[in-house]
Amino acid sequence: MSITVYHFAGWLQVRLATNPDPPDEPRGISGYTFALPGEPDLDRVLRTHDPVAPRSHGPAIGLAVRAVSVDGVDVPGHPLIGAAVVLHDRPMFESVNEVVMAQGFEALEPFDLGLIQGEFRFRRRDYLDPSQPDLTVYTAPPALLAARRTASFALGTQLMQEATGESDPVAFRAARLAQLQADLPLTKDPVLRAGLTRRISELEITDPNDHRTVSMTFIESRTYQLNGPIDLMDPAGWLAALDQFATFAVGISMGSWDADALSAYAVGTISFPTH
Amino acid sequence: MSLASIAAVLAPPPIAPIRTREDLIDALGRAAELEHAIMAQYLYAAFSLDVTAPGLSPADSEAVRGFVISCLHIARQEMEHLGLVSNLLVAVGAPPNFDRPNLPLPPRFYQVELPLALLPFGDEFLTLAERLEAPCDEPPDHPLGPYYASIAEVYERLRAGFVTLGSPDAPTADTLFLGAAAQQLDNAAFGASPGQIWYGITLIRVKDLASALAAIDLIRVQGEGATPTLLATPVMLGVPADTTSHYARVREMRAAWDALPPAARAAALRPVPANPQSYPHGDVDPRAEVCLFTDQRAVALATLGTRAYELMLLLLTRQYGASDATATDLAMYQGIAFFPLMTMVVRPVGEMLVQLPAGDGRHAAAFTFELDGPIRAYRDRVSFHQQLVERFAHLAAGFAELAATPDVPARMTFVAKNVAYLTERIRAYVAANP
Repeated sequence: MSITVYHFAGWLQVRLATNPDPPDEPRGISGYTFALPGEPDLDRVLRTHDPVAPRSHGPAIGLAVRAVSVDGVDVPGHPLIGAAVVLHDRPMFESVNEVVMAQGFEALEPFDLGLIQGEFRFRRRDYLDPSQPDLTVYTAPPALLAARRTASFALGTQLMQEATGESDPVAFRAARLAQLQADLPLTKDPVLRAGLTRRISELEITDPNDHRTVSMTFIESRTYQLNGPIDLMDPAGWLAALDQFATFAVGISMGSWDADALSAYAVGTISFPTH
Repeated sequence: MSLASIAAVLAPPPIAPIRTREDLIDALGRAAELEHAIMAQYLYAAFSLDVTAPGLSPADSEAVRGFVISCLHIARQEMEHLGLVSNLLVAVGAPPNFDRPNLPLPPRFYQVELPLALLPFGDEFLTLAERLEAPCDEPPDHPLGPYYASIAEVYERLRAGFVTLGSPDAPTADTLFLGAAAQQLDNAAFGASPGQIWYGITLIRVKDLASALAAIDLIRVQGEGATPTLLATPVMLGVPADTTSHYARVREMRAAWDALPPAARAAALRPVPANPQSYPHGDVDPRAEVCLFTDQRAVALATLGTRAYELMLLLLTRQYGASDATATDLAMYQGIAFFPLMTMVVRPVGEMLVQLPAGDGRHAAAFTFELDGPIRAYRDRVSFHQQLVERFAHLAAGFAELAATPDVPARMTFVAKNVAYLTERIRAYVAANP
């Protein structure tokens, strides 16, 4: 048996209210993230593609396979390099302000991963318990939830450096602030002006110990075991040797949280056992 | 006898300086109640605003959101001040004080010239807030009149009292901080390191004179701003400067409110009354206007809000001072009181109440900040935990029943689900930690 590992990376969008706002706060009030005038309500959905109301000067959203290796050996030119990595079914961070799990360690649920490249389609989900596919963070036994969904949390700038080329959150935010300040006098539309003004007022908070800044160095890592039925459309036979009876391990780390653009950078791996 | 001399005889005496530990504890107890009431005032004003009102232009909507952000920011720092005063109380050997009378209270209730009242955002609220937060740049030892002009003077007297009793040459210096080692809260209670300021909150442990004065100066800088006299005091060097004091923020809100077109001001305000009550109280200012709810949904939800709020205060009380709480218990209390009880129950109740009618045909309901009885310190963990389970179970049943009632906000179901989940968490904790 061999293990084929797909290494992926890219930016995600998560339009969520931040503590101490409750998670169902639609516009953002007491946290540091906001739905701006003209934007739809916050919805907490983690989007790997097709961002909703993307903001000026924010990163391009898109998670994709960047490299493939087989048993540790790189496979340049693998046909799935560049494949879109998709999280289906509206995944959300589910701490519920510490009702269900601790902040920073909470579940990202559901975890239903897909790969798309041309006609190729792969999709498989990690169920908390495959025999009870309807379990949610509220209905799963707490011990099971903790064992299968607790994230690890660390502080560091490595993801930020990889994503932005910058390792200083204060400098990153200052550069964004300068961009928005330059845009403001050129922006005549009152809706856009109101939004820009809100973004600028948030970026003007420069305290390096403030949540807005420190959170750029948060790194949350999660592991999954894809254990649901496999949905595969593979006309060219790229996954012909896939062991469809095994579970598939996925690891994903997210960081470089850009609160102004409601975006985070993610890196990870998907491991496919093959015959 | 001349009129002037008669007036002098009838005038109340000036507020005396603090000379003893009991003076200090009494003054700190009143400061805690003041902070608690002022926090409620800001929260109430925030709940009265509608950021998404259809009549607001994008720019006006952002201005209104700015008012809510500022009110909630100040309210959180009033909670911080209550926390700092609790640390000061514990440090000098007293229990914390999370109790207070119901609102409204008449002027001079706490020897402060001003009344305390739950007012919707607007001119009256801003005027009261501005006067309460007004700076005082007198030296710490200046004589007081019979009443405090603003909160700043309350803390001036407290500061002078700590200096009197805690200075190295004072006979009480060695024994003043009896409770220096007892349980207090600091930034770690919110998951932050000592240098990190999360949610605008900085909590300082009080263990000696320097930390006591730093706590008081922090309250003053955040409230009234960094006055020249305050900044000239030596311990201020250790206090993070706050350039956006409550006083400055209130004045900014006043200017922005005045700049809004009248139609936008009208659109931004929900029709909430002054001083709502779910039932009549005997401890409030009898001359003040109050609004008694008659809509049964409003009464039921306000009652649940009060129960959740009391529960939060009981959990906070257990976190201060000497008690039989284990380290695991303390972590559990912290893991319930701030997040999620404050943010997932109390706040949503406040936001849902304004969607219900008060029942008088004119007003919406609103969070009442009522307390049904004194907030006591429970000293026995087993007894407290049993009561915690019972209180949560009652809350869960109440929210479930209300969620099944016609014509209540849809969000009630979400709150009911979360309270039910929390109840089971508490039940499991208590069962596993006898």
